[in-house]
Amino acid sequence: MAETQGTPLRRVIAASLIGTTIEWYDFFLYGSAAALVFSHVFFPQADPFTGTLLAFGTYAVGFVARPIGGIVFGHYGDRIGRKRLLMLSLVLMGTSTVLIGLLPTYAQIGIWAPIALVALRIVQGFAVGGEWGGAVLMAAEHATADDAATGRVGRRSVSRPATCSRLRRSLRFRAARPSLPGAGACHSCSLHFSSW
Amino acid sequence: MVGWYIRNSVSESATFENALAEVEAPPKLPAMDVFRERPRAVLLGAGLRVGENICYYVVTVVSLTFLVDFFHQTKQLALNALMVGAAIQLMAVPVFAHLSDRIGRRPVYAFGALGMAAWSFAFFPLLANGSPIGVTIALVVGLVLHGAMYGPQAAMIAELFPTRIRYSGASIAYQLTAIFAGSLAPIIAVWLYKEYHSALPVAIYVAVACLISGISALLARETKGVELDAIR
Repeated sequence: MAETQGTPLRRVIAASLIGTTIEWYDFFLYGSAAALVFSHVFFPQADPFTGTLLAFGTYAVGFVARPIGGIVFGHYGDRIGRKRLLMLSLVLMGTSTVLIGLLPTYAQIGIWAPIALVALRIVQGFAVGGEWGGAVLMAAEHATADDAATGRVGRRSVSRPATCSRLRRSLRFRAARPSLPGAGACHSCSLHFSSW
Repeated sequence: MVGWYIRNSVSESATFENALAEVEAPPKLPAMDVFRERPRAVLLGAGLRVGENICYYVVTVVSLTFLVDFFHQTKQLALNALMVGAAIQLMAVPVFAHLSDRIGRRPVYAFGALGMAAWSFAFFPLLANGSPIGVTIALVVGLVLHGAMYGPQAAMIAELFPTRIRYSGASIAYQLTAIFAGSLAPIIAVWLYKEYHSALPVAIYVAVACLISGISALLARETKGVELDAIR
């Protein structure tokens, strides 16, 4: 198979890597934030334990939305292309994370605050559900083409993007934890989370 | 923004465009085709994921809870050991991925899964013992074995499906597992420990999950060096 496009494999891998890293960062940041801040900001009526449970409940909603994202993104990814869907997942994730950071608190708009939070979390899960397949396929299918063209690059590169970002995720998850209590001290500044 | 820029600069996959050019129309409902044409691939993909996913959350999340809350170790010890494990895994994953290109996906994946099934029985006693070296070894070996699964995984799952329905198939196989494996793993592990006052049931839980992944790896077809557009 001829090399039909000019994108070097290295660039493809960079694209996969950075996107996946950003997506998973957003997705997991929420977990830390749920544990530390959200119960105070969004569920002040509940006692701390219930508040935390409720916050983790919104966290779990994101997991449930993942396969739905996988099916819908897979549908259009197989029909109109991997790239466009991958771009869409990135935009959806970025937008919903920024909006979560900008949400008014329970004190400001009452019950609509947690409702909006859950809705945005569903969007996050939906986006991340579509992301993995897209990133892996872009890398995998490009690697194959390249492989055929040059006979040099193996498909092992495929597993790296997702892999490395997963590792970063675990590393930064740990890195993020100690730094969060600082942010956790200011309950109204949830904006901080989205600005990184 | 950076992500957008870099991703936008990459062209559509040629494999996909070739596959699209071959047929008159793209699949109407790729998700349905996945279940109709490749039920075995979905099960294999999900099976590959179960052990890997549960193992990851047990080693990185449950271990912290166990060390700090149940075995009364300091948070610092737990986090340090995990940091060492993550750094070593960062190197191990590409090595295993490379190895899976050389000797095959199945043996590397099965090594990780079956290795972890065995290691889980040493894992919790080492955590309970609480010596910094023991705890570090427990987490490092756990993450390295996880790396042997995670390295080849993306390629292996993608190679289970033909290009026409690959996005749907890989996403479904991968994401289905996340709901009941990884997300529930911390809850199940903590519940098992509270119920039985012993870490043995937790080790069995991890071992069974990894056994499923090991068997899935052995049941899968070897796809090392297979061209993606040759998968029908």
